[in-house]
Amino acid sequence: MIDDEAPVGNFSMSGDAAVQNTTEDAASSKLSAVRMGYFRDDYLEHFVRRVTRRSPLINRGYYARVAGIRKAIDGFLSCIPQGTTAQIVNLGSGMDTTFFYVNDKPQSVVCFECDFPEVIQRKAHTILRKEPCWKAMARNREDIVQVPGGALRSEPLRMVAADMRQVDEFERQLVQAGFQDDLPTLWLAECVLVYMQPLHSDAIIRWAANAVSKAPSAFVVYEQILPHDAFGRTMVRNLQARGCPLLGIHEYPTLDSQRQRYVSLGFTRCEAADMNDVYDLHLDGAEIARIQRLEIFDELEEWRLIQGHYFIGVALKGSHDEQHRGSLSYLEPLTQIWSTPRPSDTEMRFRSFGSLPPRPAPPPSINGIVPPGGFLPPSFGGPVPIPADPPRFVPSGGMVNGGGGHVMANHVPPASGGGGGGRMMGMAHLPEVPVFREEDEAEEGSEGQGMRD
Amino acid sequence: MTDLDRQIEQLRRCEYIKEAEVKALCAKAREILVEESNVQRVDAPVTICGDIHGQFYDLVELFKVGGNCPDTNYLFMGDFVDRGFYSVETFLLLLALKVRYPDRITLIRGNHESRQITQVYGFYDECLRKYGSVNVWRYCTEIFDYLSLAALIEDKIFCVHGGLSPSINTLDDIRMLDRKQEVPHDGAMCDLMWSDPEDMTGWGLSPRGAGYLFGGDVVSEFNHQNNIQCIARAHQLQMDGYRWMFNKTLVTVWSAPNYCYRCGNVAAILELDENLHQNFKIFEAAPPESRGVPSKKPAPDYFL
Repeated sequence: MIDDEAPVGNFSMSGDAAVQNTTEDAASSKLSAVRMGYFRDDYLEHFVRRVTRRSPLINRGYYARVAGIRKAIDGFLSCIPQGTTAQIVNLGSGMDTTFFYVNDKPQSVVCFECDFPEVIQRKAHTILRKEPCWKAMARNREDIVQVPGGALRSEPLRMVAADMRQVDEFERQLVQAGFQDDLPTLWLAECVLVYMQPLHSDAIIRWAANAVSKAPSAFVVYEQILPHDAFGRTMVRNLQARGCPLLGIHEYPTLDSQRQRYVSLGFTRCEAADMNDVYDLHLDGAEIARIQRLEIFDELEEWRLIQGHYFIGVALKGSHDEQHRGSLSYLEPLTQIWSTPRPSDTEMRFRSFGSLPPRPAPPPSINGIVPPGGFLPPSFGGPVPIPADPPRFVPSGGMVNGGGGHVMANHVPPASGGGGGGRMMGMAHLPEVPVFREEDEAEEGSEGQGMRD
Repeated sequence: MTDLDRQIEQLRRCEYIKEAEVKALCAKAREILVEESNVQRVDAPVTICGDIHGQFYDLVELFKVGGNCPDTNYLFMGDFVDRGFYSVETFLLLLALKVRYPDRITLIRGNHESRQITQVYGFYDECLRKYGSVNVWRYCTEIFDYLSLAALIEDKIFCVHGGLSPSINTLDDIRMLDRKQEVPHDGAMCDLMWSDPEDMTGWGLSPRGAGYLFGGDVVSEFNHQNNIQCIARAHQLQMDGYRWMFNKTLVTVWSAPNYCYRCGNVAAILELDENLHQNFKIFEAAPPESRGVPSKKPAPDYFL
């Protein structure tokens, strides 16, 4: 078998198709994180064709993205006055499950999902086949309207099949789907605009900034920045090779340029933070502590690098009417979304590393030296991901001697031999290992999953 | 040509050898490694290398830059496997060279030379994929248990994968460890492979969840106590290939260019001449055309 070390594009499709396919990769990676216990999403599995196990870095990064976006969505919804319906317009929605996430909330929200017709058709097809999905749209499947082009429409979810680069046509379809200019609106663009020429993405932002005239609105964006350093140059090259070049990254390469972009295109202000700051300062501390116990994590330097090359921006705009002109009205609290760090805790001392699997503090040191034997076990704690084909092997006992000290989910601890450097430690618990379907793994296996990062 | 020479030739072409050959190779390697000390003595001149992580074609670049083994005397400071696409070929080539030229190449253990870590970061999957069973993974991980924990060059340069441990004051403390075991979750042996230097005083918790952070004063005390000049270690990606710390009493050497095919970094090796004079050699990732037949290898992961 000849393998090739160099990552090369495995897409021979057109640029648009390669970009459309990024949603498959995102959904599959998010599902990997869901199955590892990073966050909950009961609907995602319906939209993923192939389940693959992703590396801890990718799992953790998707967790940070989902948690950051959900924080923005929750913050937006919490600002909406009682009795007011909100709109969420998901630009380039792909297989994203935001609709289901907000639909499970008590608030009145109408979601618009916008994407290329091919993507919308595939998603519509899936929704109609999966009862939990269509039940979220309507009580009876017959109540869901399928419009020409394949998009589904019901009260809470309106799909729009359009090429967003044709803004006039896109707007026409959005209005036809029931979009109103007098409801508080959240625009959502996750890894979408950066794949477009700035000419097109700017037009979308400019239009969005003015599309809601009689209520305040917010634009939430997550995408890549910093194309000029060594990591960024490699990222640009690798994604180009993959067929989905970052067409917009050079026009808006930094956090500052992104902030200015939204203001110059019509928003009142824009709060932006890179994903290191989002993760270290603004996500829930207890949740971070929990998810950092899920997997062994040995990708710290890379984690810093990759998270520094993504950001979440929240741009805000007041309504245009005389009464509210210049005021963000009830969305004012969102201006603080990246301003107030979460309460510091002892673990935050290490936030510059982005990862501290919590463990008890070492005993007091004497002259800087901790007495040997005084350590409490570190907590890798979480499930050790085991490859799909369940390897119920046992290392041959004779080879592993010494004091043991390692306990693995699928390993019989070696008999305690003669001392050795480690102390026997038992993991407090070994949560259930997520199950990945074997046939899915087999297909992916030949491509080296687990080493893709 | 002996079988071993043939296998080395084969591995140099990035073709992996038969399972039975791996088994025999590991048996021979074990006989050699079991005789080595926890702190293996190494003579200068020697070339010190950091993490490789299965980036086979970049290891070939390293040999181009640093000279072939046995012409050059090499010390590899662990993390041969995981992350890259060719952990099998990379580790087996280094191991075959060790068996063929035991006095011209020294391999010490990194935190990825572990049963547990290799199941998360790729080596296990790669063995299963290439051989259809976990036998080769089992042979290799058994050999991991025999690798030295550290090396000492001319009694002056202490080499270890990660760093120091609060449980260790002297080199003799390391010599007394029973190393023939899986990397434990804590304790001296774990710390040697997991710890990191940090601009701080004393010891700190490691964000990795294993090992410790140690400051310049700790290094100064350790070097003084053991009469050594400098600690050479690997373990942390350096965008420029290497990094001095603590007034040149510790150096990190990183030998995996464009780490994970994603990071865009250069790599370094550290050449020491017979007087322990230092010379870093920097190299970049192997050019795509030298990487054999292109296949449908997926691109490195990003958040898409």
